[in-house]
Amino acid sequence: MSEEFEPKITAFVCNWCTYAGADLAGTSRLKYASNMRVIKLPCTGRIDFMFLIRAFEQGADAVLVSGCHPGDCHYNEGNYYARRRWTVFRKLLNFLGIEEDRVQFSSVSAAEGRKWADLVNEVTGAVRKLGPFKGYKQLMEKSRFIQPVEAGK
Amino acid sequence: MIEQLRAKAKELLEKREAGVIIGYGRGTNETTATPVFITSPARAGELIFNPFCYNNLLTFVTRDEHKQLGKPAVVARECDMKAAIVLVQEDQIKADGIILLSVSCDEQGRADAACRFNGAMTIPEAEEWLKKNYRAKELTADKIAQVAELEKMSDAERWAFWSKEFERCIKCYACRQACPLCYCRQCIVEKNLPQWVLTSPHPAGNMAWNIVRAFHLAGRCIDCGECERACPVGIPLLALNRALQKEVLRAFDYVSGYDHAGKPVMASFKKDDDEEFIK
Repeated sequence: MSEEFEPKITAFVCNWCTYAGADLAGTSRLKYASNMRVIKLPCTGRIDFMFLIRAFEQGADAVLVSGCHPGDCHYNEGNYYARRRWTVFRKLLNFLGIEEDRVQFSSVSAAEGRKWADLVNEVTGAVRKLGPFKGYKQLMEKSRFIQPVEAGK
Repeated sequence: MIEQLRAKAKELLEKREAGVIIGYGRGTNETTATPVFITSPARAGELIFNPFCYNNLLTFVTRDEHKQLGKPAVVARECDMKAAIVLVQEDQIKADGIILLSVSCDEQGRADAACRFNGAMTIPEAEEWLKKNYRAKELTADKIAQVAELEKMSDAERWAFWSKEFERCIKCYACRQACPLCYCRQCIVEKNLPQWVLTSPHPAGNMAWNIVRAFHLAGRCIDCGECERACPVGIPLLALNRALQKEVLRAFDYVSGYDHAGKPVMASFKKDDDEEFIK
């Protein structure tokens, strides 16, 4: 097995800043790692921490949460509330033994296409170094006889 | 001491200042105690307070069946008083809708020979009393000894530790039922469209449940330790709660249970909150 490990990373981004920034990276034809799966939400304040857990359950090796810079929130203060939440949540995950690099946070504005491309490369590199998230994959493997029922199925 | 408590309880019921006394009564034998709900002054003598009294009685005040009994006067130790303050802060009970019959216990939260009855208190009085007499006992070195020990381990060691602990979880939700601050009428684990938490007691579901339980108490937990005591398989849940308390204290300089009129820490923010972790 000489193939390099390609991590799966789930990015939860806000509609107004980071998603537009990622879009700008695309329209500017910047080339960057393709490991990121982007999920768009109205605001980082909308992101329930259960989304992150679900991403891990479904095989993500890392997650990224990205929104507006402080003061730029489309809803004025959503990202301030989110910031408090993530401060404590990443501490909890780390206390449970999840490496800090697997749960990343950033602010990318609509004008920062370059920053987004660099960020994705950087995060992908860090997760590649960590390797697959064996811990959570093992949990899921041990639980494989029972799968959740998804809405609408 | 117990006579003072009984007399006060009787007085409150006779004057109709309280509709129900929620306290401890004798259990099935001398070495057990059970929560009692006393509505008639004649029964005030049934109240007891001894080392077998450990439930956090504030759990009952948010439940509908107990609300019907009228304004409660609740026998409360220090940590239980903090629970009442958080319930007022989060608008679950009215500040003037409860009386606390304050009792002091020893360092382990148990009643002993030195226990005292501090009188009936309103919420603001309880807050003042706690600030004066209890605030310094929060997150002391011996309380966070286990947290510090775990923090010294590597990530892989901690993951192994918690995975092994959570493996024993049988999803009985006793931790939730015993907690005075887990008052949601419909808990997230009972919602199934979508099913956020895998319901079976298997490793993935246990991990998700324990993350949810711990994080929903972030910045709220009042360190009464009822979850850990109630846990039939002995998962050190208090260590999880205390790790979060420690982080909330470090990042936001906040200890839960001392501010009934203020906003909860996770439902507020400061513009200059710590953000070194955000790239």
